[in-house]
Amino acid sequence: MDYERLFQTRPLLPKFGEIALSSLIIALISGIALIPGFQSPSEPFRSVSQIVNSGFFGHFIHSCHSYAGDLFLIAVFFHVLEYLLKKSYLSYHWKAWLWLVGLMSVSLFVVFSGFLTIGSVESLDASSILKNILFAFGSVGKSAANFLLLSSERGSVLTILVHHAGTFTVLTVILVYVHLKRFKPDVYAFYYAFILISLLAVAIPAKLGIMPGANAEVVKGPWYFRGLQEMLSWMPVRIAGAALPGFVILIFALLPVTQKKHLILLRALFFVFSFYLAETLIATFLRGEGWQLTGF
Amino acid sequence: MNGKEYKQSRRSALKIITGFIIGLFVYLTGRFTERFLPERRKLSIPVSGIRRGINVTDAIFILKTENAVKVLSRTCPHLGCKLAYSPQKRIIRCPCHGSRFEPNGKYLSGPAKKDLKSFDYQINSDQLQIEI
Ligand code: FES
Repeated sequence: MDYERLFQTRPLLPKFGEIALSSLIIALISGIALIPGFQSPSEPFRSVSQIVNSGFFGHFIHSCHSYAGDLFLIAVFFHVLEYLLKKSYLSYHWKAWLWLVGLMSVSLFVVFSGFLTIGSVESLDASSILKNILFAFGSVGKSAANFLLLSSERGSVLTILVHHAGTFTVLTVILVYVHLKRFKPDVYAFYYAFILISLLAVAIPAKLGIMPGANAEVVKGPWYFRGLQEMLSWMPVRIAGAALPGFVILIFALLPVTQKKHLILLRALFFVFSFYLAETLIATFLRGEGWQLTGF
Repeated sequence: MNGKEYKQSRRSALKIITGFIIGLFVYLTGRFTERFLPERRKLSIPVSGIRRGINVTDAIFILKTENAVKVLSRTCPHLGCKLAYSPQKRIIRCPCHGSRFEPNGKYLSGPAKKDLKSFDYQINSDQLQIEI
């Protein structure tokens, strides 16, 4: 199939890479505007609720930040898909490609760390899950967990907030610059992302999640990690939380190295993705109270 | 050794040194963060406020039967989610991956594979004191 044309003939739709960059910039600007409202890292949910309930602007900025993160991930996903279908990785030196694999992973973390700062039941449980997955790696994992989430032991999101706004954001910006050698998006793509995000923010306010302390009967993580959540409910932690994600990163990293066998790797990626999508759909639509399958 | 070889060997030596410095930095950062881990939390709950059956607090379940009190962790032994008690089903369930426990903390099903952790407690002048 002529994938080149598939990605060239898209009337009105800007390039996915440009949408990703635009969303990142919108997330950065809205994130800066949110800083004064985030009054207390030890009561994050109250802080975020106060921002949202402070009036139209507060709710608008919070929703813009949240949707910009989502759109960033979606655009990165299609941008990566485009790279894979067009086999663009073949023209990369493996070291340059590794930077891109790094950017892909950091992109996921910059958005996920934002989710962890909300302090809702979903966000607090996601922090515990991340911490315990890291603990499965022994003392190195423990150090990593402390490094990322130390203040959560005291019920504060301060550590992950600093990593979200500082470490991961700076890393993302640097890696984007290494990738593009610029940080200015295409103007059309920027307005496209801006209007889409603004309309969504006005029409459907971003959800905050369940209030902490509630006796939540079912807790679902962010959409991009639902598949992982479902896998963790029936697979050993080391396989679902470590081996499989590690395997996917390894396949990505090896793509430009295995010039002749790259199609096998692509098929493996497609298989893993289909499986993950199926798990995501099960977690989203078929899991009910007590994480039991509903409708069965 | 000609000039090119010298440059190459110097570059690989520098790479090894950089790798070592990064490794040392990561290790020391890990050790450094450990110093800031909080001590165990002390909870104090008025005994008169504890009802018969399961009492749900933010961090623990208190199970009061006719002649005993049992204090159980509300943290799932699988990956740490906060457990919920379902009074209709008389069961403790994990909302994240579906582990199930009896009200006395015994493991029933799901990925947790362990009973709930129980805590020792002391009663001092109408206060149930627990260290978690
Ligand atoms: S955290 Fe409770 S079953 Fe996974």
